[in-house]
Amino acid sequence: MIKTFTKYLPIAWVSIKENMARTLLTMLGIIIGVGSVVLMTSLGKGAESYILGSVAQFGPDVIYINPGSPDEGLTGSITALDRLKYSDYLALREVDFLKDVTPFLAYDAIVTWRNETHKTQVIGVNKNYPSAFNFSVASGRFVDDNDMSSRQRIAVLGVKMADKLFDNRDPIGETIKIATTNFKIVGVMEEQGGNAFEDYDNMVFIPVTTMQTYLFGVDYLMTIAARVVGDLESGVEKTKNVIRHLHRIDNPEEDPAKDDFQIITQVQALDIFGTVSDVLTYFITSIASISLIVGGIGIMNIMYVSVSQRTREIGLRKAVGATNRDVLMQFISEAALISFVGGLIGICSGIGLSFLFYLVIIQFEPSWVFAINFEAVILSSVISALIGIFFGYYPAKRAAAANPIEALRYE
Amino acid sequence: MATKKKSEEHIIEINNLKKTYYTGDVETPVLRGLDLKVKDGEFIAIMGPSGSGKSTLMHIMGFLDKPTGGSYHFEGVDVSELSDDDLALVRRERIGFVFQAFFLLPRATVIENVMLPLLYQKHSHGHDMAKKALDSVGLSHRLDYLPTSLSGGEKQRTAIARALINAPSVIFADEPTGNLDSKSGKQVMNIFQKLNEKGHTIILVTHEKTTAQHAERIIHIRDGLIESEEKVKGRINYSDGDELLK
Ligand SMILES: Nc1ncnc2c1ncn2[C@@H]1O[C@H](COP(=O)(O)OP(=O)(O)O)[C@@H](O)[C@H]1O
Ligand SMILES: [Mg+2]
Repeated sequence: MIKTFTKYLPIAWVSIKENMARTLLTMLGIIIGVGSVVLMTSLGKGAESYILGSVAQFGPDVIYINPGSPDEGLTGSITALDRLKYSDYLALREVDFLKDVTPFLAYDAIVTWRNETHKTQVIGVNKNYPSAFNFSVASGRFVDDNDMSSRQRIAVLGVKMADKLFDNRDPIGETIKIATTNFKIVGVMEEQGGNAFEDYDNMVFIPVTTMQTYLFGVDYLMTIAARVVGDLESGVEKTKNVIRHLHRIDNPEEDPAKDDFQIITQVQALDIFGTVSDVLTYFITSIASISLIVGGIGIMNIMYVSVSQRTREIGLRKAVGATNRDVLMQFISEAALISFVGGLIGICSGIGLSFLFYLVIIQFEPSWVFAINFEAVILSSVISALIGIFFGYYPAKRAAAANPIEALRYE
Repeated sequence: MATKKKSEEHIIEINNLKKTYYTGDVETPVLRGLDLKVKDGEFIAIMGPSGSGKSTLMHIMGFLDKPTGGSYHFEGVDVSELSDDDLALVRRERIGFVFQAFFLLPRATVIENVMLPLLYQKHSHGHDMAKKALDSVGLSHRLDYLPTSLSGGEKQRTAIARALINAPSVIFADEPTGNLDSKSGKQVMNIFQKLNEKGHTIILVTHEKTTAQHAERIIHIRDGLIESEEKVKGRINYSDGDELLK
């Protein structure tokens, strides 16, 4: 097979040269098809690495306890929002298989200092937050135990938020308004960067107790984060049992539907994103297949046109001794070569476009990664050649069957 | 294909050859029972008015078309027994065609055009063969030209070189001077005569008396039948013809 092709490729090449403009037109479908496959899969891979990088940022031992059973959704439904109590946090703080236990409330609020006003995410946490998430304070201090127990109205700014509000001034000691309540700034965080989900540098951190009292008027928590000490699995089990006990849930058979909370581990989070990217891959693959088939039909169409326009050339080739098989193979090789070269051009432009996209995306997401999906590259070049052979076959058969006399009569 | 020769030296032997075209219910008889013998190394001209069936006859003799009746022996072999691939092989190895309209590939160079027949067989020294063929038609200075930059005569000489490259025993030429001015026409006929002297059988189709006068024998056909046949007296011969190529 390969040997036959190497015999016909020079012939195909001469005739591609003969019909350059049309050849490029024919390639367009394949170029677009393959180009978009490479672009999409590369962006998908970039997104995947980016998301995985975000998740891995905190270490594999971090777990999240969210309200609501898994049936009610990942982060807990609206109706389940109040299941996780501050008392749960207090109990978990005392167990020896968890450390850095951090309660969470989050809230979008308007933050004001003099004339500067910004809408941002205000996060209620405790003193464990920096160590649980590997963040550190650049100047001043973070929320401490005393702030928690006496519900102090103090705030720690993410570095970008500090910049936006205070420019080059030192914010520590200044008073800002969060919604309508005054808060005294006691610290500024180190630059942390963002990830796929959060932009930590724009956040404002306050004691969770203060948030419950002054901003929310509630006693529940959105999430409790913690690090497991020792074995992850048994730590998760023990944590579940503690919360079941506190919530008076009898669930020895471990039926997650009976729980009113759920524990998300990083491993699970990775799985979830793995599933998401699988779905994405199927989606992209089906779009790609459609565009490749459309490209293939385009090739078939133009090959038909080409065959009917080139009856004289075909007649001449037969007159000088080409067999029907020679003509068949010539046209198939031509179609295969056209779609393969189209595939290569598509791959190059796909990679080029991916890089352009990357250059644009890093303007907004500096931790974005440039990635090429090489499996997709190899697969699409092979597939594009196969498409040429497949869709080139019928036009080639018509060419092989052409009657040389018709073509060679002089009009 | 077997190349066993019959005892006679006839390279082409045609008996009661018929060709009828069928288009729907309409029958068009074009050749209506022709007998023709051509000796190996002969130079014949087939003459006749337009539509008399000259090209049809040449296509059948050149293995591009099949008769609907009668028999055709080439080098002693019954052509009706050959498969399509055999016919392609004969076209490739035993014969060459020259057409009125040249039929050169427009974006291939002169030498690439001449090498076209070699694409369908193995040749390690195709380039040298093509150069030699072009040399014999006086075109060694045009190897890398494109056909569009050639004069009509040069185009036809390129086509002759292409027909020559496989050292064919028979060269078929259908109105080869039909698109040429008289000087280029003379050059082309001179080349055919020289090729004939080297041993190639030449079968020339023309409707011009003077062109036909270059052959040894003229076959007149009319309405698909041989009307008459004559030996050429006072044959035009360019003994000093080499100068014509300069
Ligand atoms: N495919 C065909 N179907 C029907 N008639 C045809 C076909 N091809 C040629 N003819 C007819 O055959 C006759 C002879 O044609 P041709 O051999 O080209 O003549 P010449 O070369 O002597 O001018 C013409 O009348 C032409 O119209
Ligand atoms: Mg004719």
